[in-house]
Amino acid sequence: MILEGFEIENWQCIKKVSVTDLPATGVIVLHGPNRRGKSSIVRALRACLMDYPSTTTALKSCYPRGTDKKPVVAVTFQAAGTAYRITKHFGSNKSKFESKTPEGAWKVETTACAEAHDRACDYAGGDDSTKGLHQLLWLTQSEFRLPDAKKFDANVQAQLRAILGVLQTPLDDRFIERVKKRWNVWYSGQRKPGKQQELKESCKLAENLKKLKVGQKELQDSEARFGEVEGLLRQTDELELRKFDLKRQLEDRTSDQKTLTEEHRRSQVRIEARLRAEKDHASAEKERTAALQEQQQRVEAAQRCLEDVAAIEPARKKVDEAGQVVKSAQEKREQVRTDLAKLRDRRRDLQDRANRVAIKLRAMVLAEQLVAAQREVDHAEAVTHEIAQMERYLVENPAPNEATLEALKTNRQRWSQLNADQQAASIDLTVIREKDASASRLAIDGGAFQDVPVSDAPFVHAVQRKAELLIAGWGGVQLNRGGGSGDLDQLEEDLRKCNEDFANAVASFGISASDPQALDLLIERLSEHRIRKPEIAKKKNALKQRAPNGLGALHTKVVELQTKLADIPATDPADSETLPTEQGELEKLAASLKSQMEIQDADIQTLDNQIEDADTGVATARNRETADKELLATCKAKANSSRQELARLRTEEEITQRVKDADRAMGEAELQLKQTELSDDECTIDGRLEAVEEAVGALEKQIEENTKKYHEIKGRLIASEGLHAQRSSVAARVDELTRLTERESLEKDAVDRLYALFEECREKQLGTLMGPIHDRVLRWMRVLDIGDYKEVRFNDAFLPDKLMSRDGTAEFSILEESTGAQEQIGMLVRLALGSTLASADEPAVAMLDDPLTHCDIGRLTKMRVILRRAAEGDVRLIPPAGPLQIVILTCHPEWFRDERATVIDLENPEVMSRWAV
Amino acid sequence: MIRFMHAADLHLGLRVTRFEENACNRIGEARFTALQQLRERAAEHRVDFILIAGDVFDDHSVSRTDVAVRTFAILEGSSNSCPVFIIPGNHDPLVPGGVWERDPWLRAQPHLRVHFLRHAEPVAVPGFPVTLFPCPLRQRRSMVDPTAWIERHPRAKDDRTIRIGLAHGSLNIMPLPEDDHLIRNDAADHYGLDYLALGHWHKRSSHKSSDGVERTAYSGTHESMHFPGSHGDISIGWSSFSADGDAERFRDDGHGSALLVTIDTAGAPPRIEPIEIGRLRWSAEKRDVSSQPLGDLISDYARREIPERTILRLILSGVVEPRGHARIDELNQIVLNRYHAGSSLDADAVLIEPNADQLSEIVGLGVLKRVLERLKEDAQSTNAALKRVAEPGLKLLYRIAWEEQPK
Repeated sequence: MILEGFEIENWQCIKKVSVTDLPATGVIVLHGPNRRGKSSIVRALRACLMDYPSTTTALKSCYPRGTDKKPVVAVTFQAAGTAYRITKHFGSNKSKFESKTPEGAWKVETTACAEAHDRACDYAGGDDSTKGLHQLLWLTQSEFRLPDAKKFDANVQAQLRAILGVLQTPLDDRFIERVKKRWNVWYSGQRKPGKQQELKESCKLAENLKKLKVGQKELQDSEARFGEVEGLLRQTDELELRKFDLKRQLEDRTSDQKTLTEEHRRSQVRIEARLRAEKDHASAEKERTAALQEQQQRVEAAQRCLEDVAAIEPARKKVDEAGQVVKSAQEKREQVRTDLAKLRDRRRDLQDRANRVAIKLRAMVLAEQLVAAQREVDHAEAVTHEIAQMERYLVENPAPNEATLEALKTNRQRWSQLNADQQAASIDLTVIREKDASASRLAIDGGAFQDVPVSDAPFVHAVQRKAELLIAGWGGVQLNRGGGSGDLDQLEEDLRKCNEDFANAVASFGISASDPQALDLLIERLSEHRIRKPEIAKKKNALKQRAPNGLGALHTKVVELQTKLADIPATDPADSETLPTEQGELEKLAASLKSQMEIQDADIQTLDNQIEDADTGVATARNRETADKELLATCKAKANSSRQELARLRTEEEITQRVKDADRAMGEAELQLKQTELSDDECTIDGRLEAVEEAVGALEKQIEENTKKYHEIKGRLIASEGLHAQRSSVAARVDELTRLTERESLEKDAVDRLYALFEECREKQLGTLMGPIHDRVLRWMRVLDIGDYKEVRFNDAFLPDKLMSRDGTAEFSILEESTGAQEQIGMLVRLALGSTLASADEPAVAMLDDPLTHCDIGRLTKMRVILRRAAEGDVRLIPPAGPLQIVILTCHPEWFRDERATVIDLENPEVMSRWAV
Repeated sequence: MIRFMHAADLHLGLRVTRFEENACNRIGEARFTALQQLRERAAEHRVDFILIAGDVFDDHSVSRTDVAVRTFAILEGSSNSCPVFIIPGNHDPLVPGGVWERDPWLRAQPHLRVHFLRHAEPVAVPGFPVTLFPCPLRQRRSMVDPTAWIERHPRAKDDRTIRIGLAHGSLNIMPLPEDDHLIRNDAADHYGLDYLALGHWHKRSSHKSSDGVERTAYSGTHESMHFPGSHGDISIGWSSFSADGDAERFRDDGHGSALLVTIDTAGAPPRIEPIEIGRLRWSAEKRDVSSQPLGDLISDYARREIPERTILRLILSGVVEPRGHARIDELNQIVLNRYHAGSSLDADAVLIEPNADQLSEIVGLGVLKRVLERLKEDAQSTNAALKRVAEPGLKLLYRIAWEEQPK
């Protein structure tokens, strides 16, 4: 159904509105300012087409006020290729339903109120404008959110399902809710595709896994202990066997020990005799060795003594030779020292001459510097004097500044002007005294009477206020100015003030105001100041450059130079040498002297070096001499020592006798040794007895250790009591937990898989069923720059449910978007779904009252394009998107004005007239 | 004539792990009950004595108070109880520090009625013309025949006593680990024994001598500890100390027993009569739900005798419809609530497969339909991870979908 036009009369503020020839598809903009009745139009159309029969009383609030007229609404529409018109006179049973004949005439189908209403509803798609497709496409003001899925018209859903197919059944909903609930037993949050979810710590499975881990550890420990016990059991057998074996060995060894002890006792006498012989033999051997050693020692001492005495004479000879070398070196050094002293005397003479030359040269330089400094002082003093004179002049002849002078000039001009004005305001009193006329005296303006001279030419006096003429013999004439002499008073006052100002001004410059040249004088002074001031500055600058630190510094310099010159010592008059008076000659002489001194300095250095070498030579010779002397002393000491050592030893005869005695004793001891020789058994009896004793001890120890170990194992075995039950209990727990966790893990994985598959399948289903709508909405959202979403998730009611982020990891509710974006997404979905339900043969009407109020201008521009495209439909889509007739009622026509849109101005009186409010 | 009970392999303090802890405890407790039963049955049959051929305890590390003392007390019985002759087996060999060296077993034997035979030497049974030849073990494993010492004590010509061997080991009648305390297969003949009471093998068996008379017998364990027929598929967490571990000879037939042996005179053939004394019955069963309706199964298991003394391991397999699968829970409840602790129902192998009509009814035409298809693909996948969760995933899908069907 599409609208062709409508005519509404007497609906609230609307007196009449008539819109005809609406285009079948496209965007139609009805605009007018606020409170012009736009929403009333929508309500009237809803009432007429769907909501109420004409007899209703529910619309009384829509009747116009201040009149008894009742609303009449007529809507012309097209459905299934035929045009119809429904006319309802509300507040009565007068209704009419007409159809248009092929010839263009209107044929009344029915005038029965109820039937007309039903027929209209049939074509309009229902008797409730808030249901059916209208729920999607007929929007009242401020209605921008999509309907709740539960409240979304089931009929529309059914239509969509018929076109698109089944998306998600209620069973699917219940199923996935159950799966999610189970999934949430193990995990928290939402399942994220492709991401390994962390098990909830609080879930039973996690707890059991933890317990299992602990149990496994316990079991492992328990098994280890059990293994240990088993090992101990095995060991006990071995220990038993070993115990028997050790006891047998001990018995054998104890028997051996007894036999050997007896044998040891029997051979003890012989062994002791043998031991004594061995001891005597060792003593004799020791004495013999000592005697021989002493004999050898004496021979060596005698030899050493002879050698040490022989070494004394060569040492003494060497000491004498060294003394000679020292003497020779000392003589050579004395000769060099004498030569050096002579050379130094000559050098000192040269130095004295050079000093005198240098002093004279310095005196000459200082004298020159003193002359120059004195010149500077003179010049600076002259400049200073000039500056002082000029400054004095300026002080004595002060001049006004430019502004003051200008003010004075103005004053004088004003004074001239005031004078002229006063002149003009005065009365010319012309007096002519004839020759013979009696004397007359004239007093003007209070001044003294003066004789009026006789003249051929008349005298003209300017009288300002009063003139008195006294004519002798005649009387007097008095001329008085009248009372209206205010202007003159003012002039006089101004003149007085002007003069007073002038007098005050010039007086400060030492000039009398009465001096008619006063102003000229000031001008002249100013001119003079202008010339002199830069000159003074220039001179001061020059002076500053010559004497930056003032005249004092120049004077100080002169005095310093004079002092320095005075400090130069005068030439000794006894000095036989006369120095040149010319500076050049003096400088040459100085250079010559310097050259000679340098040569002598080199010679002195050479001699110094030679003395140093000679000193070294003397020191070396002395060291040698000392060393030789020490050697001699050593030789003497050694010889003494050898002699003393020889003296300490026994005599040769004594030593020979000692050796003979020792040889004899040795022979006797060897004989005794031979007589007491032991058999092999006697020799080894001690070792054998010791070995068997050790063996017995070791066996006893082993038996003791074995017994200890046996008891230890026994104790440990007894301590293992209860281990079996504990091990069983732990193992049972571990087994149970293993079974439980395996089972639950499998269930968890199965639930996770179901969840994943459901999501995947739902995605695919969505792609298949909602693909065209989804793609269209998402494309439009991207045109509008609404978020950066990968997809819009639709619920089974074909309404958007969630928005998925670009990377697919985050899910957002549409309510998380801004109000504007929610409104826009809602509009896009309405348009997409509406287009799906519309067809080229049967376009649908979208009635949008004041839409997109939360949309910014940028998006509105894009939205215009989207509205136009939605209105055009798209046959390429599967299922095809049908065209729409989009009627927009707005107070912002500029938002929706498009070159292809049909724009109707409700302000146009030909379109709409209103009741006076 | 003498009459005695022959039992073995009591394994008191048994280490069982493959059940939840309560079940483990109750299974352990049942062995004591069975021992008590042995005493009672002995009294009923007025036997002269009881022989226990080794492995009274499962291990040396059993608790003294909970196991060792209690065992002693039961075996000691009352004043009119018959004597009991015991030898140590490979689970509780006579070793220093072992269970036999602890109170009360450390006391001088016999105490009153309990005779713990520590030495391999003939023992005359007081008041009866019987000579026992005990063969106590001192190791877990040994290549020595524990009965070999009897050879030094052949029957004297005028000896008319009844000679009974009491040993623990494997009769060398088949390939066995050589350190499993092998006993020569003709031991009874060779040593001139009237009866050789053996322990070690948990399954009851008797063996003929060269004269065709059964003189050698294993009594089997007095209380079951194995699901018969499971061929080791279902482990209870217990293992023998033999080199071949959980071999067939250590698998009992699901209920415990002892042997009542009567010997008239020396040389007379013994009459061996098995006596059931076990407390619990162990049963591992497999049922195919494709061939047997679940309703029948439920009523079958609901009507079984003494379920409270039966440890049931029921494994279901086959294919059922979702509606049928929901009834598996019903069966599971019966198994868990009526049968002994440790009983379980394993329905992992049951596949749920709705028929074509049910399929669309159950999963609808929406996303679930696709999910189902994908899971089926997963089940055929070569990817082990996908395959692993495909089956439980399918079950879960059917189950939730079924439960969420509009009622």
